[in-house]
Amino acid sequence: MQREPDDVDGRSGRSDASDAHEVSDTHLVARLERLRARVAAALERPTVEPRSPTDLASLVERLERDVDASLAALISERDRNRRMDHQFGELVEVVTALAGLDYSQQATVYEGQDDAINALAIGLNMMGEELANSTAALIRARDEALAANRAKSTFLANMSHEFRTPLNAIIGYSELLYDEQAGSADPLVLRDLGRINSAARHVLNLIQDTLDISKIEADKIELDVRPIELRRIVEDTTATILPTAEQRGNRLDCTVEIVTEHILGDATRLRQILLNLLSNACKFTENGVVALAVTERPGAAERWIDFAVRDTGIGIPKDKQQRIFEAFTQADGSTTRIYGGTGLGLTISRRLCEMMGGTLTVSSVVGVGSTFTAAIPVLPVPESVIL
Amino acid sequence: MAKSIETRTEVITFGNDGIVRCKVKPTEAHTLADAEENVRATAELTEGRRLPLILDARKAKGITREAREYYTGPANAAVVMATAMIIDSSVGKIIGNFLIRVNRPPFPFRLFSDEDSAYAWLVEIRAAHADDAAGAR
Repeated sequence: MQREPDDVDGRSGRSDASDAHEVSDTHLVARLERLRARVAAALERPTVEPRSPTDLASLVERLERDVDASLAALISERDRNRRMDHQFGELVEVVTALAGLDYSQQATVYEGQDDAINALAIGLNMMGEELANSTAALIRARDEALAANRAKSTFLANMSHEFRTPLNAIIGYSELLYDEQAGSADPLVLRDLGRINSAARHVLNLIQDTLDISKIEADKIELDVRPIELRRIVEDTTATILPTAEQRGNRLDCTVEIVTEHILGDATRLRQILLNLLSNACKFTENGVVALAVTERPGAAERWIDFAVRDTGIGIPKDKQQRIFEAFTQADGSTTRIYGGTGLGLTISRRLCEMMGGTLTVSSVVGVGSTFTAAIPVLPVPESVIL
Repeated sequence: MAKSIETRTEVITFGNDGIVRCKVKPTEAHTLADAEENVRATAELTEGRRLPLILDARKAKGITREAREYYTGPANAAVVMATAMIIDSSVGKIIGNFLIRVNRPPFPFRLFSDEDSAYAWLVEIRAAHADDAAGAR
């Protein structure tokens, strides 16, 4: 209810929150002056003509009571509005602090203050407490997870070292024995020595993959970028994978159509990506074709090389094509049993491609084959360096 | 005959109808010490039995986080079968919603605006518990 300026009736004069800002000290003084004027006027021309000094005294007393009551109501209203303004200011400060992720500020709840404002203060305080607590719990959980991850990485690094030392001895000695016995020993002994060597190399590769993914997850791998001759890396890699391809009755094709022969890159990691893709293709293809096509995208402002590994193998169902890039995942559980592997090769390859600023994608049709394409941006080696 | 205990923040009464009534006094916000005292007093009145409870929070002025956790934790769950919280203000609504949505008591907990509806709901809960107990036997 809007209150008239000259309304002196304390009972009807309760102001609501909407006129809170109208009640200032100046306003109060003005209203008080008007009240005084009304009292003076009433005394000069009383509505009820005083018949005696007693009547006059009674009239004065009544007017004084009215003025006192009105004044008390006005002062109470002014104080309430001041508290309300102050509390609103506090609420704004608390909300501002919360918005800035500072949960330490608390709004004051005032006795006798407007219920809705107190509710806001209590609600904000409880939200602040909960947010502070949840944030602290999340930080603790994150720190624990980071510590556990560091411990895992250290454990893996130590264990891989412990495994690799005897495995290298097994590989070395089995090769030595093979060479020594090559001309004279029983073919079955040579076959067994070959199997020992192959199994040991397999375990060594698994350990290396596990270590790699652990390093990648811990952001501990750095690319060793140097001038490299791309065609030579491709040729070396295909030469390495050729025996594997032939073992599965596959034909290995390779085409290189590039303009930029010398690039700046990490030869070891590039070779690792190509070996992963080619060995996967050989693993899932039997009596088919595995083809590596290296092409440079023509006309692009930035130089990109696409390494596409195509096979005519079993293919990958559409709904599994993204999962295969997740660590320890193959298209389905039976794949691991039939074809072996840790399921880390593609994860490592994709992460390495991403570290190089590129991508690794797949397109595949079940029963027809798959094509994995590693697209990598390259910088040419300056002529002065090549010479 | 109804038995009653008055704590710093509540008047807790256990009547012949087997329902505990906690009336929140218009004191300042409940602290953990208040929560412990009130739960202890409830357990004393009910002699450790799990019973329905009406929490008249119409005069509530606030509650600390520790107290909220205690009221919705195992100590209170050991003496409370279900809580019907009576509220009639924005303060009560905020506290009640926090208890339900954030603290999530492990027993039935519902907000009401009057005691009759609260009582009727608790009687239903108690009957369901009695049926479950009979079924289990």
